[in-house]
Amino acid sequence: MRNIQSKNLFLLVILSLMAVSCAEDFLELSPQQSVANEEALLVLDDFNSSVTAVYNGLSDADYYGRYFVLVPDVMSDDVKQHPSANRAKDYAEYTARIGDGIAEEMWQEMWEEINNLNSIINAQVDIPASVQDDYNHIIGEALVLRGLVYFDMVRMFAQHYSFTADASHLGVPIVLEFDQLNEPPRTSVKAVYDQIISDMTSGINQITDDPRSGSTATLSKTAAKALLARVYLYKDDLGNAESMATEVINSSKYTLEDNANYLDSWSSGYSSESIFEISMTASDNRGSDALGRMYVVEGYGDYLPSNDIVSLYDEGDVRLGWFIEDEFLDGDYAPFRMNKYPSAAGDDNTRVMRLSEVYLIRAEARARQNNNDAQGDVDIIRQRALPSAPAVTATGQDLIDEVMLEKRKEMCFEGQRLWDLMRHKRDIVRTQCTSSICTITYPSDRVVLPIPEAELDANPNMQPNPGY
Amino acid sequence: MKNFTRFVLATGILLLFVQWSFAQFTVTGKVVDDGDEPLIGASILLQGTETGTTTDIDGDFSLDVPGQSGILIISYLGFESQEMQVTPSSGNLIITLSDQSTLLNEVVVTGYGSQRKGAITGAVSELKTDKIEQVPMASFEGALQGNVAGLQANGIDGTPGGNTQIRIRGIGSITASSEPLYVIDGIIAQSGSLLSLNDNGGRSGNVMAGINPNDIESVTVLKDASSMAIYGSRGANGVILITTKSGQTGRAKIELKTQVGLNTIASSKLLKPLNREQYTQLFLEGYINGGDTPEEAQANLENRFSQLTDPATGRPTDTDWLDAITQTGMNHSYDLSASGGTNAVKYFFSGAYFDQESHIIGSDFDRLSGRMNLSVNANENITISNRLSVSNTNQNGFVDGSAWANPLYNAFLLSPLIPITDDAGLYNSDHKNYFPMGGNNPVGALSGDDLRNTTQLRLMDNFSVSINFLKDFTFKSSWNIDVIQIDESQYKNRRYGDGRNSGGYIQEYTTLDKNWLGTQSVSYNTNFGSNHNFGAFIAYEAQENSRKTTYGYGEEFPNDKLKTLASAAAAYEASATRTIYSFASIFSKVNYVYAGKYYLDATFRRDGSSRFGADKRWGNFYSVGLAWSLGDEEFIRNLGFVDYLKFRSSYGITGNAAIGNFPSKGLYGYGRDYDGTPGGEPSQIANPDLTWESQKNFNVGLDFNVFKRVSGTVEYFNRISSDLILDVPISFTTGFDVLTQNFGEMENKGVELSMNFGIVETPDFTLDIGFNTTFLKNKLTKLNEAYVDGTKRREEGLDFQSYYLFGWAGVDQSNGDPLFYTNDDENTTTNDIGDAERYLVGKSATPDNFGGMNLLLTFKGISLSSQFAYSSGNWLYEPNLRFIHGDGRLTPRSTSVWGFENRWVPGSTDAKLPQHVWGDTKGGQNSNNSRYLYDGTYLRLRNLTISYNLPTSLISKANLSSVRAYVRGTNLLTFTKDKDLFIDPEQAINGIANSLTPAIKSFTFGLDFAF
Repeated sequence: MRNIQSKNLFLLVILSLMAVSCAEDFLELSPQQSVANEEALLVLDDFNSSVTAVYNGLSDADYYGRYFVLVPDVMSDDVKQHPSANRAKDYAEYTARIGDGIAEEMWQEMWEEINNLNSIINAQVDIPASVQDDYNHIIGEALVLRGLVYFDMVRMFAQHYSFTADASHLGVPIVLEFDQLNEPPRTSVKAVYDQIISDMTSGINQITDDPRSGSTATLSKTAAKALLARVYLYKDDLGNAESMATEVINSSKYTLEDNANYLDSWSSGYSSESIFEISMTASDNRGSDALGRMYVVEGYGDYLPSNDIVSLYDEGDVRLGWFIEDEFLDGDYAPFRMNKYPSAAGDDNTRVMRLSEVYLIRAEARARQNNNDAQGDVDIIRQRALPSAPAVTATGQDLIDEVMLEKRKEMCFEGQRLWDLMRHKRDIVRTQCTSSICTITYPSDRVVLPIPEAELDANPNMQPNPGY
Repeated sequence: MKNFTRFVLATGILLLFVQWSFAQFTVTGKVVDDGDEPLIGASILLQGTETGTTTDIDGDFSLDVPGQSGILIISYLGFESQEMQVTPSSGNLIITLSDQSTLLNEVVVTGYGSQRKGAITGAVSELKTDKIEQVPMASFEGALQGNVAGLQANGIDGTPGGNTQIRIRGIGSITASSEPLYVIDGIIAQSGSLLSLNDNGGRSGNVMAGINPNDIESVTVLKDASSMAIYGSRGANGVILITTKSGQTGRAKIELKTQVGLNTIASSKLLKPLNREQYTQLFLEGYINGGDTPEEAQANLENRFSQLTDPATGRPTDTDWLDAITQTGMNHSYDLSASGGTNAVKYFFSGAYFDQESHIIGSDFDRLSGRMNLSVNANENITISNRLSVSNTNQNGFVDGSAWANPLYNAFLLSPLIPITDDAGLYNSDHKNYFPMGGNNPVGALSGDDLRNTTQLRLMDNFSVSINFLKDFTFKSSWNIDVIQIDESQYKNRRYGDGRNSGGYIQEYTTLDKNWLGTQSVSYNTNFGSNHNFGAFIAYEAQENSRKTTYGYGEEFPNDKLKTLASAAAAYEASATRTIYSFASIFSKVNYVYAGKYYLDATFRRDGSSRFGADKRWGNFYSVGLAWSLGDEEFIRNLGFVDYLKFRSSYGITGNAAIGNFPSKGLYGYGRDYDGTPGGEPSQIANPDLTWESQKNFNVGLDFNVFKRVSGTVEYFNRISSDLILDVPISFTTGFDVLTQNFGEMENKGVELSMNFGIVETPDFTLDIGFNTTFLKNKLTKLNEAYVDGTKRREEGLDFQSYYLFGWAGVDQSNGDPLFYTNDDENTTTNDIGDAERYLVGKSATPDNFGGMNLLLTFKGISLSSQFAYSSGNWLYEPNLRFIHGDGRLTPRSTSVWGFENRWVPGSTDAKLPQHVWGDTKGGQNSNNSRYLYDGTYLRLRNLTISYNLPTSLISKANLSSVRAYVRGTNLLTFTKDKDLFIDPEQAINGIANSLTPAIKSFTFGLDFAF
């Protein structure tokens, strides 16, 4: 009897072990919203979706979706705070700390895009000849985007190029390959600019002039040149800035909106002067994350246009339409709200590069090379907004000041003012000031964001930004 | 071993000899206890011979008796032995053994079986139906609070149907779940929140609310390795076994339980909002303090508020938002059950309706449930059992936390100068033009303008067949399913609040969670002679869980009456996701008892799971336990006063597999869409070694019963959790912020003590008092480096929940500035947060000590029972007080009366809040600030019930067998140590409060009828 029992028990154990060994398949499951790394970059579609994700990253609220544009503007002199201001307030008042969430999220977002772009650029694949051109375009796009992200990062987290004579001051790390254990130190600003120019130049050689999306929501060759023109300008490489800008203007792919349409062109995307913009659609469900919602009364309404900027426009300037009166504002906060991003739903595209800026890049490059052709470039922008405005006659430093003034008026609330002031080594002076701090004297450690505390903790080789 | 072989051989030969030599007959029967529960493994011996057998899992036995008659000796440890004459005409015997001590011979449900309490070597606590039935709460978990030593159960959201967080013997994981495993009638079941849409961080939903607490026979809590190792990689956080009721042999018992009650807020110390005068004063003061003249400040007020006359009353607007959103809610419960059985069929059926309204308007929960538990003895060897339950729950609630729409948040921040309704009699939305925070109107939102509805349909079925084969063997096959469907709808109206810019919007989510589990087992139990009992169990189990979610979104509604996606005109969005995991396991348990005094058991489980990394797919888990029934030894018995004494100890290794479904794979994540085109990017770093967390668990305990009056248990435990999954921070420059690794280690050790005193026990009058208490010490023992996680700092050598904050040093009484300690010396203060640093403030969210007390007093038909729960030495942090007590930083939000009365004004000497200045820049309300940290020590009267059983003489005419009437108070009294604690002391385990719904206080009246 015991024998029978043992035999049964034995059989059962065998059956169980068999069941367990069958289980290997049962246990090998795959996620259904994600794809394994090894299968992620194999065919052209994979490259399409990967580079698309980078643009999606650019559209994030921590980047072009909000803070990358908002933060430098609230640190600058065109904006005054509403008393309810909450978000980014610590930057408006220069009280941000090393653990600040905005700096960390922006830093993280930018590095996520660098990693994504590195994966695309470094992927080893055999692409069929029939789609080789499409593949090359994407790689070109990825290179230009990598240059753009590094350019944005070095602007946000490091002092401007001419802060030291040889640009040897701290830039950001350069990472071109994925390594989960990498703890890179910061390189010099010069090295970062060299990388940016190298990436953008190689990208321009590969990318075609037909954006994949069919619109300026993705990059084209000319758009890449416009971005590179801005990089050269920030590097004070004025000759290259001028020639790149000229190439873009002469391409005739873009035309300035005329006076009659200019204001309306801000209510919808893809104006005729748009060179590169970040698409925001209803399905992005931007809601309160949107840049415009920081200004409009239907949103948070945290920030208001200072009279310092509003008073610069002459009567009749079409651009005064960017400012609308709000009867509920009083005292120093009255009377205007800024309406360059009017969508209550937060669907305004973020303009990254438009033809007006290219004219002003060229104007600055020319003016600083004592080339009075800059006058004509300024006139194009100024007289578009106010046809009766007299032509510019200034020369020398006065001409540079005219360019700066026009750029401030044209590009306000597009996140550029802070860096224009820094590059020209000027103080930030808030005359109509609702902040606890009204003047930031050049040079200041605090005009760049802190290297996030979490990065400093995780990466022993990372140097902090002084002043934080 | 040699003796053993000889014994077996001898028995076998003897049996053969007996069989061949004489005429014989077969006796069959069943051995049960006083409560008709089968006694498993009872010994039946033919007097004067060595012929015998033991009862099987159903208490049944069968024995061949030679000749024409014989005397059976039926014995079972802890029970009085019985002798019985049997003849061929004896038929099927039912033998009832009386226990020597009821307490110790209760059968307790344990993992994959049940055990006599006296035979358990592990740390197991049991809660019976009397503590669970008719508690006026949606789910049974609240009943565990203060009733089980070592178990913390915190109602983390007072909203009806909200979740309860449970920790058994502390927190066992850093990033993975620390929730125990729930097993319902053998089904490893879903627990916690499965909500997808704004689930308030898992607080508002609880799939367990689908189980009718009245259907529960017992809840067993497994706390140590010996009891939980049978659950292998899922046992480490402890196990909660829920067993539903079964029918008993005997006549049908029909019970109707009814209950009706009133619900209000339990805590009496909650903050109160400002009235018109207070707010106006504060508003003007805030501007004057900021440099305005009184005239300018007055102009600001008039310019700001355009509804200073309340259209509803014609009088100056003076809205008490908190008062307007609170109410006295009702609850109802009706429960009908029928149970009974014959030797062949046993049944338990129930149908119930439960309905609970919150103390917040528009917030409620109801449940309809049905159950059919059926067991059939097809023949003497085959038992077929099926337990089927269906429930539907329906919950209306709101978004909580720091969302502007949270009524319990904006009730304090909205100005009393805003009316509830506008000129047209509609819920006011005009203030969205002049008051920030999205123009929320919590009264309108909760009165039907908005919607936040969750329904859950849960179906569970447990079908099993047990077959006794050969001698002493039972094969059992169980087939289980657990299906949960949750539908969530959230509508935000067109006129104010979150939907105001989209013409109203709707979000609809459906979650379908399907879980199947199959267990095939063989068990064996035998006695050798009278001194050896041996049992063995081996099983194979497979489980798969899949979940699908479907999401829809739309905007632009024609009106606020239609609140389904079909009526949205624009911005449609849809999404769906799927996920899946599986487990395959083989496990075994053996136990041996010698002389009814010495117990030894061992458990082994080998688990494989799709969740574990490819290089670490299978894990082995085990335990050994031993117990010594000292009370049965002569030298103890001779003491005279010791009725029972047992020493036990266990050690083992278990695991925690609640690590997410695909944590080890290198992944690209999609949904990174741009401009209408799909995008994907690296979303997770590959780590094929990533696998379960493991735990070494040591337990030693003593169970005692002395002087016939005092019983208790004292235990020491030490849990060492290792391979804890840590998101080790890495440089952001990699594109990731963390690398997930099995790295950390944590220790929880402590002492549990439970005591019960039967002070008076006479037929007419009894008085029982009991308490339990747990002292717990938690310590992080291995981290790669210390890191800050919100308000806490995780550092080796520290309690896991140690607060790391700026040290609030109060208010500078000379000028109203906020003061902070510059560092942990707490010697120097500064009014500039920039000069202060965060430090460990020496306080933790982990209690030093927690537990409960209970008292039961009966006098004739009247009984009074009460239960207290308490927690001591834990600290709570309320982040939203940064805004509610924000010193005016956020213009023009209101504050509380406490904040108003304690703010600094010139001449103050004991101000607790700094000077009020609109747009305050002094930063006194900085986050992670010990200003918002409170001592969470509390004592709460969880239950007070007075009941009366009507005399039989009165009710027997109506064919009733019993009628019981009672009044019950739940959370009647709450005492807190910190007098400035203005939140309910019952909060999440991590101590973070976040403006959640405070606990409910209920007064209920109930009538139970039995036929």
